[in-house]
Amino acid sequence: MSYMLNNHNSQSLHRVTVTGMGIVSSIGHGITSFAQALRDGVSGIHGHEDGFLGLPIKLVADIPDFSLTHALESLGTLSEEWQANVTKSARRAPYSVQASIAVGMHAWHMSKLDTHSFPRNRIGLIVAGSNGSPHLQFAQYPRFQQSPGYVTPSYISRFFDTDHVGTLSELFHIHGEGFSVGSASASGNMAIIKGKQLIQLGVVDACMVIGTLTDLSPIELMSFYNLGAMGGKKYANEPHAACRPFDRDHEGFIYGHAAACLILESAMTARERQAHVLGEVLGGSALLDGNRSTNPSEEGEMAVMEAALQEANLSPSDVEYINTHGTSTPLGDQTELQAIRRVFGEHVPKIAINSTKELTGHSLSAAGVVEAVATLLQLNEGFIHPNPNLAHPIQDDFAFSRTTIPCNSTIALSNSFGFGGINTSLVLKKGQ
Amino acid sequence: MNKNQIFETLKGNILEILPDLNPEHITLDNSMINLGANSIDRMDIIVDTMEKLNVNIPLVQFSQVSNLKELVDVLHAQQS
Repeated sequence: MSYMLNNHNSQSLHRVTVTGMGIVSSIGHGITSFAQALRDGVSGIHGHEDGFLGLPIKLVADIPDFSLTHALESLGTLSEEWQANVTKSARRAPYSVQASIAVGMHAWHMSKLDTHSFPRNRIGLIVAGSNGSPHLQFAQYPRFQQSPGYVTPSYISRFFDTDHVGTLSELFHIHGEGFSVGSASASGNMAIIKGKQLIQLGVVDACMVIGTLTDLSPIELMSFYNLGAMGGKKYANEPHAACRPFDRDHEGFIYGHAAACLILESAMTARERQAHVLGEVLGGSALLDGNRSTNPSEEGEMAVMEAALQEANLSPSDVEYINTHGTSTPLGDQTELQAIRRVFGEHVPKIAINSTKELTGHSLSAAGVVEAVATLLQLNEGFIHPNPNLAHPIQDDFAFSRTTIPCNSTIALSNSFGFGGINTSLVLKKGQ
Repeated sequence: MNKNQIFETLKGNILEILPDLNPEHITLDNSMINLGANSIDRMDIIVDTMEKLNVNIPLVQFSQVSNLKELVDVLHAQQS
């Protein structure tokens, strides 16, 4: 249990609900098409015959020809005022910021916060991810080499991750607390945890949490590749089969592009304004391994799941579904299953379990928010999405499924683990 | 480049940064501020133009410039 919560009577902390969700991904933009793609087990991994960005990396769950207009299509015709404001915010905005605008718009409209006179200084904004757009820096390098005098002046206004904070706070008139939070691949979960805490402590009543699209440059991609962390060798010619979390043939992660948004809100204001509650964040914990290396820790993962359950006042038998970190990395997959086994013991065969990364690829900074959205959609719509590539599970007593299964679950866990020994776990409850 | 060519290059860069502008409004006696370019847009446009002209002019030299004609003059003077 976190330090902060130890110092408060848990009865006095505000309950935290979810009243808006948004997503852009390789398998669908907007909640409806994303949910359908999950249900159908659609893979967003594409083959790039000549290599992604000209690199030896041939499989990426990217979003070819991303357009903000297309990403906003399912919202219908925007009012003139919204259209003008979006156009202004998106002007010259990089890909990653445009994706944040899109997911923010989806979640904001879903939450209907804009139709209520919600005090703007009671809304916070947390952006998940650090060093989110190294591609921007990479694109400046040829100019720098030609002459340092030709470096684009506006690059510096885009360099900080807080460009997302500035852009979205301007678009949605958010005036409460706002910042970016970095925890490598656990950034998304960490941002949700921080947003939850802001609301629990009464610092804000609502908080927009954005999982930003991580737009890696060829240098980071090659660093991952040279490290041997990426999969896609054995199934190089079968993009959809390449990402195989928990399968005997897992070889490493497949990089994916995605962004997602949750609007967290105090249960009290959600009730007052009769908002549609899409879920509740019952618990969320973050614990360090004390290890700067990239290897996972069974002890750390176990501890963080237990801490999240404890915060939610739940026991292992209450959990009916686990959305795993599940990157398709052999050591990572094995370690997570061992940790789950130690926490859930005899309940393991009864807990539905899957990895959304098989379908979306690993969206790094965004992953935690993407998977929180995926988790709530599955709970609310009564299904567990399949992992079609799971032909030979590395452990056979877990309740994996290669096909979509109906479920009537209420409580789920969602894990994210990041480089630097950062372990996070969320406890989510289905909506009303 | 002669002054006319420099102006055309500048115009092209302005339109790249402000694609919604009506090209007819980009005239020598108009200013970038008047065209809707904010301070960051203006610096980007000037640096992009310097790059295309292959010149390197300290940005302070543009501080007194009040319209596109004067901007072209500064760029032209540094060219040779």
